[in-house]
Amino acid sequence: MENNVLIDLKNICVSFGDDQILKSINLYIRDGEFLTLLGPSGCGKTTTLRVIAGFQSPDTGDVVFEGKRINDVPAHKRQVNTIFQRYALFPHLNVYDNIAFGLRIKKEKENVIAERVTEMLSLVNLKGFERRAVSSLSGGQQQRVAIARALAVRPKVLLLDEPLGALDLKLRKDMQVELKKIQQSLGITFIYVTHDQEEALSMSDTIVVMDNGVIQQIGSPTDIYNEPKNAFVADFIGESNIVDGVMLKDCVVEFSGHRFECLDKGFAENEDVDVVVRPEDVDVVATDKGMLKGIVTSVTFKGVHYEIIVDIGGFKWMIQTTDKQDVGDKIGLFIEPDAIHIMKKSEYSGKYGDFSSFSEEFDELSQPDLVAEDSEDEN
Amino acid sequence: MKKHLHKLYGFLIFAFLYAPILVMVVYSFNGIKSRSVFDGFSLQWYQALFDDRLILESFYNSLIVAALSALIATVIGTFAAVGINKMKNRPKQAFLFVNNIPVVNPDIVTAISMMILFVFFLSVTRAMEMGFWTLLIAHVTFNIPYVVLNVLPKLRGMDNNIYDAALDLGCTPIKAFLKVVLPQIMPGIITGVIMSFTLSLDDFIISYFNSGTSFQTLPITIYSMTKKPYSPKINALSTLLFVFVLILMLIVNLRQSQNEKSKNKGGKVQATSPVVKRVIAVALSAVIVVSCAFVLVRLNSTSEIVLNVYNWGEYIDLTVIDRFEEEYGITVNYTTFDQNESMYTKVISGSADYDIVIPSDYMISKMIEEDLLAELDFDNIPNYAYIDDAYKNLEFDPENKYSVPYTWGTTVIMYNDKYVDPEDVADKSINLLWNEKYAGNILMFDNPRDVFGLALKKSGYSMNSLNPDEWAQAAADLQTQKPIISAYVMDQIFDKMISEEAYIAPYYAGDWLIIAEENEHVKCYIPAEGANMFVDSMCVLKSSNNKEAAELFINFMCETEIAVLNAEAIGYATPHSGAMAELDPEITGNEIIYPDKEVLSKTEVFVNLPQDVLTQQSNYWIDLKIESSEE
Ligand SMILES: Nc1ncnc2c1ncn2[C@@H]1O[C@H](COP(=O)(O)OP(=O)(O)O)[C@@H](O)[C@H]1O
Ligand SMILES: [Mg+2]
Repeated sequence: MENNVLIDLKNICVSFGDDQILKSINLYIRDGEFLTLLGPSGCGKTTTLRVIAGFQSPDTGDVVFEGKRINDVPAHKRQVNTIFQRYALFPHLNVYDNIAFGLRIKKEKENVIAERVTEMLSLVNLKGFERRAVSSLSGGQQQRVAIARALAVRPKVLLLDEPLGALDLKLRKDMQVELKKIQQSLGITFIYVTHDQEEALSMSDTIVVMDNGVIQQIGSPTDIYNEPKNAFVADFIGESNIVDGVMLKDCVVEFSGHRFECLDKGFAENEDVDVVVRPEDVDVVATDKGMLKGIVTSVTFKGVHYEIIVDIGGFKWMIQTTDKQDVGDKIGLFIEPDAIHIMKKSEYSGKYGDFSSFSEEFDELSQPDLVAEDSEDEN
Repeated sequence: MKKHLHKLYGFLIFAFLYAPILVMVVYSFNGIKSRSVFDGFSLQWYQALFDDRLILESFYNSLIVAALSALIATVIGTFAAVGINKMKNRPKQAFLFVNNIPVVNPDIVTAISMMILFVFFLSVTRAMEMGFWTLLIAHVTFNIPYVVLNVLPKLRGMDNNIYDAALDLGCTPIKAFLKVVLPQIMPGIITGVIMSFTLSLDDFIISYFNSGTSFQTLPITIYSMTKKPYSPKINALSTLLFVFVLILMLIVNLRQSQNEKSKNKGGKVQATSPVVKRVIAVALSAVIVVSCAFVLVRLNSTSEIVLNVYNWGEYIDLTVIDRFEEEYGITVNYTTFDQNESMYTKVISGSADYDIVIPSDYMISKMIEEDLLAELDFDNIPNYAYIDDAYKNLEFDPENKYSVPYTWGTTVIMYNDKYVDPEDVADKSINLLWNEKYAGNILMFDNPRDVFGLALKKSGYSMNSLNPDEWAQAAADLQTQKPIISAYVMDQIFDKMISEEAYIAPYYAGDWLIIAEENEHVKCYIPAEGANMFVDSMCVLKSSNNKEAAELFINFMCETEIAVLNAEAIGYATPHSGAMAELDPEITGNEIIYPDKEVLSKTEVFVNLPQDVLTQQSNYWIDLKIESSEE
């Protein structure tokens, strides 16, 4: 396994002025892997990419590429290519010349270039656009040109910084599939940055969850989803109810005034823990059959299921159920042992997983981070 | 209705902006020398322009300096802008502030401070003289801020990531700049070049103080011509310049709109066609080659003797200089001024080292007092014998040790016989200028020395009076005269008298001839109370290193044939007896230009006044002028 590690980041720290943006990042990326850096806006994803690409030199730590330290190799000599957040196409060149740019720098013959550009254009479905001005293209088309331009020089690694961030939902889904296809057919390594957990879950081999310049968790999508390491990860990847609990002994946990069986072991006796229960893992039952009882305070129809908020002893739970409930109904809840996930207490404990202030609009607003990115990039 | 108003407004603005230029273009083809009457199409002024060696040479100088300084400033300014753009906010603000100061600073401050720096630096290092190089450095310096101001917004508007993208695709930083950043900021750079070029072509003040002795740009030449009546040559020159700039702007605009059109249409990018690119490349290299050649020539031509001559604008027959150069193998740097005072300022500024200057009487006495002039060795100037004794040993140089008279003349009082009663001019008195019958149609000089000279003479005092009471009376007289004066002007007297806007005005005898040629009703007389006689004489500066060559030049100017050429070109009276004999008798017989001995005996030359009298004069003058502008 060690021998096919392509990139290794060791103890990378980056500061801008007094702000430490990356705090000791340790991460390795295997050849051919689709690795995603996932985290909220401003957590240091772009900075991490820039360290790998060579636009940002780390204050401390090593960047290792194929076993060689490349801290001192300038950007234009690294075998990685980047798709920038806002494409960064060259406005004075047409589509053909944009894609041919890297090849011309490498002094390839014009017939080789023509062949490669044609190949790239068909890869990204833009045949016939050769002579178009890039400013006349739609966002999706510009994105494809950016991909073609980066891939034309046959990089070992492609760095993609929120490449789909500016596209609408439908186009986004299509492009996700296309990108994944491209990655698989070319067999090159993708380091992909996004703040969209769904995108990360559906595309990646490995997800790196970051917050505040610190890697919170590295793992496969299912690991990350099913076994989040702390409240931040649990909340960021999908919806979670996170409540305080006490681990009475192995496989027994108490929360919300009830004892539950679970599958987790290895905690100290009576250790305070965070308990995660995913909304879709809770069954609604009659009050007398429920382990917990509560009152429905809101109901939202979501198509496949209803999303209801249930008040249990003052703590609001979110539950997804296919049975319609009404506001004010008293219901019971049933939770299977394998639906319960126990996490150690962390700095994030108590900050996430309570839906008492839940509002959908608020959730929507906090998602798109492009607005924030714009102002950051100005400096 | 509203739409029509809009159109009218637009039309008026256009008319306002372009009417003057249109008129100028039309009059450049005028068949006669008039600013008011158009009489037949002719190319004579273009002919005259191309015959004027001084204008052509200074035009060429201006072009070289403008092109070189624009190119250099653009390169430096562009890199500066890139650097400033990369800075953190605080130092960036500081730099921008510093960058903007020269832009808003009055030119005169820039000009003087640079001159002082150059004079100091050059006097310490003795590396070279003020001239082409200092001028070029000065122009580059004042152009840089404008380039920065044009390029910086383009850099700011650029997506920073495209530079990174170029690096990412394998460009070295320099290549990335050339291939990606440069095309993005090119419009700003082009505006920067054009702006620098025109600013440099236009500049007078900074050039005036930093060009030293040997190098004269077009604006200085034109400005020095204003003492004499305005020549339609300038119309021709301005028309050519306007067409030149117009073509430049058209090329730039066409290019831009073409690019924009293709972008907006979403059509194909019209990469600048190879032909256009080649043309631009060829033009640029031509400019560079010519400039370099020019620079090399300048570097190599410093070995032989060079005479620096500083004269009034349009005060010589320029072929005379060619003849002198040919005959003696001495290079003459001929440059021009418009006023005794500006000549004096430049001489004492330390930024110039003229050999020969040609000031007027009172200025000569001032320069003698200040020990600026060299005593001439008249053994080297045998032709001095031709100068009529009437013009030797005059008050400003009593023993005639420092100067050789070049031209002379008197002030006269002109009147239009269509409007002025014959009996009012019968006594040929200065009082005509005070005659209330012609209120509102009388002009006066716009310089204190001539104005107070007239007022003093009117009461029978000396023009060089040292008596405060006499000055007080003259000042009071001028105050009473003020209400009937239409304007205090200098070269506008030509136009106003020709167009009969004014009926009465004092001026110089030689210039009356030009006016009378255009309006036969303008007559004149030399005032019976006595007139001012002015004498412009050739002098050698004490600081000259080429005194013998300078004396050779003065002697050459006093050769009869040469003196005739000059007298014919200038139109003022010559003190050269040999030339007098050969000139057209119609001119030498004219008793206004060459008055008889009796009239001459009543004239007076100006001498330099003591400082306290000068102070008093300027106080009275300010009183007179300030209140007049308040009305
Ligand atoms: N060049 C820079 N100078 C100062 N601060 C920066 C710079 N680049 C990024 N930052 C800061 O670093 C933090 C992380 O930025 P970034 O890596 O772009 O986050 P992300 O891509 O995860 O949204 C942000 O708070 C941003 O303001
Ligand atoms: Mg980012």
